[in-house]
Amino acid sequence: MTERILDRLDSTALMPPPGKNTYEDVIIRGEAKEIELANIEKSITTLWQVATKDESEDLAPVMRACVFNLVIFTESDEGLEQATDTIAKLTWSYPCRAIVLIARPNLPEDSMNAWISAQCQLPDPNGMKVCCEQVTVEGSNLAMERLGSMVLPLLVPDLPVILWWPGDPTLQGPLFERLMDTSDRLIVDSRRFLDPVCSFKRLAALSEMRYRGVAFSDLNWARLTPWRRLIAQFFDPPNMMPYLSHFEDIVIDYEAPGKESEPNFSQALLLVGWLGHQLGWKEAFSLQKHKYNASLIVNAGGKPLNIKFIGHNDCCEESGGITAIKITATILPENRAATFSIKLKQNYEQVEISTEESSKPPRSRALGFVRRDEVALLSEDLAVVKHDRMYEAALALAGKLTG
Amino acid sequence: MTLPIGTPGGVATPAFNPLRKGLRMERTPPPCVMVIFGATGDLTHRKLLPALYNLALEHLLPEGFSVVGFARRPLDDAKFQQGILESINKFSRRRPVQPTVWEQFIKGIYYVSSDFTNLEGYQALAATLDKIDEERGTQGNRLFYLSTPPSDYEIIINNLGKAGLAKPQRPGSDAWTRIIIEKPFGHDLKSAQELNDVVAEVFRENQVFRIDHYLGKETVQNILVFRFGNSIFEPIWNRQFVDHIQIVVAEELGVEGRGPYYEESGTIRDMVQNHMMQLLSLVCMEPPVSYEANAIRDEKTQVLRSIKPLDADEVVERTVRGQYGPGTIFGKPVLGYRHEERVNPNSITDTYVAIKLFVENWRWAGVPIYLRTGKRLPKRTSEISLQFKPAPQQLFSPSGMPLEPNVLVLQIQPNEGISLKFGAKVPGQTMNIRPVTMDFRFGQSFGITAADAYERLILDAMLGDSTLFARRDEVEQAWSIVTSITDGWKLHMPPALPNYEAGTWGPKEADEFIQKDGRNWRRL
Ligand SMILES: NC(=O)c1ccc[n+]([C@@H]2O[C@H](COP(=O)([O-])OP(=O)(O)OC[C@H]3O[C@@H](n4cnc5c(N)ncnc54)[C@H](OP(=O)(O)O)[C@@H]3O)[C@@H](O)[C@H]2O)c1
Repeated sequence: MTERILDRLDSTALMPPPGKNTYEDVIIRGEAKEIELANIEKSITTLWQVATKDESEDLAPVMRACVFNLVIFTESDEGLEQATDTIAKLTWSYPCRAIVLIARPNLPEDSMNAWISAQCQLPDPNGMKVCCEQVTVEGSNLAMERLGSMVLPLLVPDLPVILWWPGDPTLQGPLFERLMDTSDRLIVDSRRFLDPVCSFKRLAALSEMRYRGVAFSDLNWARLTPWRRLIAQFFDPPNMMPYLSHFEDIVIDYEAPGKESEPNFSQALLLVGWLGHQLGWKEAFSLQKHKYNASLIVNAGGKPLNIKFIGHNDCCEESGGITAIKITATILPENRAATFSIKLKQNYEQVEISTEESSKPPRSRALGFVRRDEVALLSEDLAVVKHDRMYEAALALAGKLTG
Repeated sequence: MTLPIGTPGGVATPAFNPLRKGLRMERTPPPCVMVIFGATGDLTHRKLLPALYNLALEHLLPEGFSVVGFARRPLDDAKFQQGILESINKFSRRRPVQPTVWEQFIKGIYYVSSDFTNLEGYQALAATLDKIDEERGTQGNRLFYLSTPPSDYEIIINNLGKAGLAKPQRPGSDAWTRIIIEKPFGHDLKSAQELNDVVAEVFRENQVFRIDHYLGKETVQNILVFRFGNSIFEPIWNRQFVDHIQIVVAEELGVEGRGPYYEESGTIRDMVQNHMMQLLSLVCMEPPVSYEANAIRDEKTQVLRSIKPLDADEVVERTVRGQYGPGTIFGKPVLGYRHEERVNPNSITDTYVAIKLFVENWRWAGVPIYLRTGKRLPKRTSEISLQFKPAPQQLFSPSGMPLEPNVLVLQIQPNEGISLKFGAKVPGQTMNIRPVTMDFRFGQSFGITAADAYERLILDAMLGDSTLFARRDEVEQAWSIVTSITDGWKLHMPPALPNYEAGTWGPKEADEFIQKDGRNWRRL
């Protein structure tokens, strides 16, 4: 039921309307200056006319839908392929105009090429096809800045602009600034940061200064949703809530594949940022790193709270992915102590949740667990329309904790 | 860092769990036990247990959540669990069962075998519940679900009362007890009032959740958002602009082996009193003062109050009854109603009704609301359509042929969505105007698979949110309208039945019925 109509516009697959110039004049591998943006828009229109005619007799049931503009920046063929695939899948839930920008260091100076393609889904076999379009623009390193300028005229008016930077974003420089100027939201995946602590800090700083009014989000935050939910559940019963103000130790295990030069524990850091913001912790001693492990002491209501991040390189499925968390708490006056732990098991398909409280039998249960793919994470992220204040607060504190 | 917690050296405990704040799914109910009366029945296996399993799959059930099945059949826990596994594998929207989730899920499934009339069964139930509280930490929270023949509601409710299981709260604890009651809630106004009295003897109104699964549907909830979350529709949502409203609930299914039930209820009780009245009140209600259970239910009830019950003559003028004869659906021959299993061969039960109602208030005076529902119609579809008055001047129609009016359609199922029909010029030298439809499909813009209505409603009941459940006055008000019609029918000879062929859009009398008002049914 998924169908892609993909055509290089220089091919003859799309018949140009009579009396108009051919598409060769418009977007073909060529000089950047020759690209007239107005014609890209026109080509899209023609593409839809052709697509519609293709479909059936008279008023063919193709529906173009668009809920936002999605701008994606990537630097490799692999990235382009992944982006295209993700857009196709995303169309099911979020039909959008996708503008994919790809930087090509090897292209001759100034060179720029563009394609358009359509993503169509048939959600109901008897219903209409829902289609949306992808515009792909490649440019040399030098043309990069101009690449940014391609975006503005291609946007569908009056709809939000979401900038998704799936790789390791520079988070600075003319292209980044230019793209941020037009965007309402930036989505990154801090799991892919090559210099995690540094980029994480920079991201936190940008978010905190409300950089150009853009809302920030991170797929690592969406990955945390099940963890946050499971941690929260420990403290739902009123008799367990007092433990929240008496945390002593937290140990978070995460995956740090051996090949990585710099282990990436952004996800774990974000989790601590969230807990800390919700529970009112303050930074005390900054982050200490020892190879794959790191530690941190925070001020939790006047008492020190030790936090450890333990990297495991004997795994790994998802670099930086949290695999376990253990919280120890003691309510001194009442001499009540408890340990709360959550641990992924069985190829990450199961999660074991246990509570041990002094003088009570330990309780433990297992639930199914699914590590979601990029499309699922993006979909969750895109469901938030404006700033995700909780994420931004968690990020701010996590940024501070890194020192 | 805004939370009232962790003052230096202090032991302040937050008043609420701060870790819940901002979670995209904030609502997790407290640990509880759900007791299903009629646990071996069709509804339990087709809908309730798959719904619970799906909630478990999404981690939406609280720790320790348990189910006690209560029915007559002598089963043990293991046999009951085995039956559940089969049903979930057959009916769940996500299949097959995930072993890890299932392993966890069955740990909390129990069965009590007893006749509903037998008080000892309830004492055994009480003992089981205490044991579960002890072993699984369910803290005395109970949700009873009556998924039984309606004739058993009274005895179960009374026995729950006698066994001390209905108390809203036990002394010294926050534990709650709630009860979900399935449809049909009564058979006419009098029996509904009596049943409400029985319920009220044992439970307080805020413990009672009368379920109408239509209200659990995303699109039905969307009616309110569409109306009151957008500013452009409300100004035209009244008699000045709306010519009439049509509400349709069509099914291609027949009575599916539920002959005896259907013989008693007919379409009017099975569909109109509950689902269609709910749709009608949501489309016609005034804006509520808040999105809060009683505020919304107050406004819905006001709508039903504004519909005058019909007198005997009005019943003749404003209703059409139908019953299907043999026919063909999707190319397959099907039996007529009178030949269905356990149906009286001379039955005069209605399997189709068309009704014209008026909401006599400031907003809707004079705007007819046509309801149409039936079994064995060509396809399954539910929708609400508002047809607007024509443009004041037929500027583009020199021939005098009126242009097609604007129609706004709220499609409930399948293909949940909203569409607007308007006229547009066909390109060319002549002024040809063609109706075109602008479609919005929920599934397409937000491709998230909606949870089943029962999942949403069971979770709401565990959370104590009764917004999507019918209140006593609402149910009785709907019955007073429906009962006026069934009473009227008793005074008049029924039409010659069957009067429509299975697989068609109902009796021709129904077409004439709307045509005499100068209108037509929407083509579906
Ligand atoms: N089925 C549906 O699709 C549907 C849809 C909407 C609403 N409803 C409503 O849901 C309710 C249940 O319908 P259903 O179709 O599930 O009914 P059902 O299949 O006939 O099931 C009836 C259940 O009640 C039990 N039962 C009957 N008499 C009993 C007695 N004297 N003592 C103990 N247990 C007794 C049966 O247990 P044993 O089998 O062990 O005797 C069985 O578990 C009805 O109110 C119906 O109107 C049903």
